[in-house]
Amino acid sequence: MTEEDHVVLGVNVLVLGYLPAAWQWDRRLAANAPVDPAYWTHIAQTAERATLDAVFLADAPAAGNPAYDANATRLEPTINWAHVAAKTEHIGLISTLSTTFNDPFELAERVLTLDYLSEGRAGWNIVTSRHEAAAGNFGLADFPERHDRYRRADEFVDVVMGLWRSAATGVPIEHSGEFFELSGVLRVPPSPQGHPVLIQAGGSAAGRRLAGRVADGVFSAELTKEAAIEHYREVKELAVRAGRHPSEVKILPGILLSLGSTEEEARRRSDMLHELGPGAYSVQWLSGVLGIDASRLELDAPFPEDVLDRALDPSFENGSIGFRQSIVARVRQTNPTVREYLRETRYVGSGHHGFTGTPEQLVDHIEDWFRSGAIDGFNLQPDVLIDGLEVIADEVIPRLRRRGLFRHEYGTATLRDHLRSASVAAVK
Amino acid sequence: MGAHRFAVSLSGEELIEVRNDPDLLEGLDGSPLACLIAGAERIRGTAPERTLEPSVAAALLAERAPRTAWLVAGAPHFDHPYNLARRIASLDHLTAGRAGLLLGVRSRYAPHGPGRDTAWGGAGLTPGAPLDAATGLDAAKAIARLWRSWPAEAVLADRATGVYAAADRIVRVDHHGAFAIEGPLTVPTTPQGVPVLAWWAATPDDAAVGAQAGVAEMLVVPDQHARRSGTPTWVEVEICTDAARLVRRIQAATAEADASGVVLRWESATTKLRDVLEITLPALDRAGLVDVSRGGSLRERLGLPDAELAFAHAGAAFPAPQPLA
Repeated sequence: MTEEDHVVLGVNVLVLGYLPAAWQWDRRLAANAPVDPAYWTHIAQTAERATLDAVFLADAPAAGNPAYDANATRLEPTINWAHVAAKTEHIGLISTLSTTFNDPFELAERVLTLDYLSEGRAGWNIVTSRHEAAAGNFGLADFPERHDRYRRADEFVDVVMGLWRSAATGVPIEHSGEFFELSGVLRVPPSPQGHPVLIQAGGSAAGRRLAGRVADGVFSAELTKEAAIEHYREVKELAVRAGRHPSEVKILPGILLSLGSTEEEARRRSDMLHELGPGAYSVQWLSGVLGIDASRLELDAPFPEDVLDRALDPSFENGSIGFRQSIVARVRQTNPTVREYLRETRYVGSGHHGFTGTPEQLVDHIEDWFRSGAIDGFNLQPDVLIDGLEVIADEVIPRLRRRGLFRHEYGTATLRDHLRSASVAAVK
Repeated sequence: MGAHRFAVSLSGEELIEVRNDPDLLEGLDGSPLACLIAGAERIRGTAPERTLEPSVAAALLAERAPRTAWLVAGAPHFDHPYNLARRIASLDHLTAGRAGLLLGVRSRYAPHGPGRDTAWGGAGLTPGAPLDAATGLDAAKAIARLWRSWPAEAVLADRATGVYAAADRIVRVDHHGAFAIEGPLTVPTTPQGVPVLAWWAATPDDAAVGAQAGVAEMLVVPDQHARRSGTPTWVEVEICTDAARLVRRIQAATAEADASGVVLRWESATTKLRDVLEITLPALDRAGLVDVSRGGSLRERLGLPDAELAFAHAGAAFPAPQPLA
């Protein structure tokens, strides 16, 4: 195998796993697992055993309702990864941090500190936040509008990158823009990778432009291979237009995983996990991402056209536009009833692309999307992490290695070099 | 003349040194110190050439030195109280109750510009609050409430009913002051109840503000301002090479404040941490001044009582869940 021909694989640690009932699944999970240092050490060391590129922590600075869902418990990502950095040596540590609810100087100082402490393994997943509850924690009566959040995000990232440069050169930045005006210098030592890796999350046009301009990777939401190929080309072209090499930005959609030793077993696992959680959960989820009250939809009728049209309108403020686009694309492809769609999403994903099957089938699937020029890799999202990640390490990764699609050991030291050591399948 | 508990104050420069010197970290791990203070230079003096963000640094170092406990310096200058409260509570969980916050008002590393001389104004979201002790006290109140907003007992993890948490026991804080914060926090109360909340008082006036209303559990004051107050007080004493003089300085300051403990500090340019561990502390020990700190939690090591967790909250944050099965 050549190091130039492998995929990038991260694991999106949605605390215990992406399904709300994950906390019930495995007897090893104590009641306090989401805040238990031993849990996080175990997860990160398992991911490192699998030689994954990075662990990735989603976040929002507001509490969700934990009534049925332990994943509403959220440790602050940079603190969590600093703890994990002490117990790992190679794996990248990506923190989701909001450009809306932070001061760019503080964020720049903190993430560069993690990068320095971890010897070049830190990354920042740039989000503008779409959790309305967060506004109330930061003294804002109204949630900032999407358009303003994106403009702020663009400027925020420029300030942070300027400050990271100042840490290396010692020369203060002088910034004067629409949202921020400051002069200053960061006193944190630069890290072995210069500055932290930047990941852009989300599928808006503004987000893709930002990705093309500065990001080392894109964490996107794709439901169909066709749409993924289109978005892949779009971001790579934007990178080229920004004067960069297309291989400098890696496209890594999320993939929701339920794995079993047979397809039947995988589906049974997925069904059991869904049935352990509250029945209203999927309707609530659909309401959240489409920005409508999904409980008012007729379950045995197809989605009304006006709901789908409105979901694609970029001026419509609720939910995530990237998720809405991918859901509408999927619905238009097969025209299911609402009930059929909710059931189907158990196996094929919703918002993020889903996969239910065997490790062998997953490896086929990764290879297919990779060879088709749809991805540089995936951000893996197991239904339950504690056993799901073990299956990835023991069953999936060895098969990928045998096909020459993944590293056998870490040949690079920093997160940026992990990402750059992977190939660019589509633009050869 | 009794013995005292001791802490040492590590500036950013020393955090970097400790990060890169495993022997030094091991020395701290085996020391008789009650705790280490991370990054106090940012809230107390002039900013040295190099530093690290102290909460992230403490998270890594505490894991590598499992017998250490940490007070992390922070200020609501360019760091929002919600974010600060979350990071320190997260640190307290990950260190199994060995963390606390030493709250100041101003950060000496702050950049310059419009709104940058206010608390949180530089973030470009709100005009910001005056950078004074009253704003610091308001941040302290908000942080103390956020730390109490999700009682750990609300977590049931009941597989029989499918209910993970009695979410109606999690409460909003609806704090309205220099900062407006609804809450709740994103994590439950911690292994030591709540992290220790300490107040940095550069002046006697600041100390008086910090001692108000029982918000801060302890004060840290420079020795020239050592006074008795109703709140446990740690006096900060600058190290000098003459051991006899240092002993006299410590005795004078602790008597003046009826102090609960002593924080040793020094300038990185003139004193080395290794010398503090290998020369200064043993000399103080020989003089009978060092009371070895014991206990697992930071609270125990500082000699503080359990914190009261009840507070005047603003009602349930979520409805009571119904059993699924």
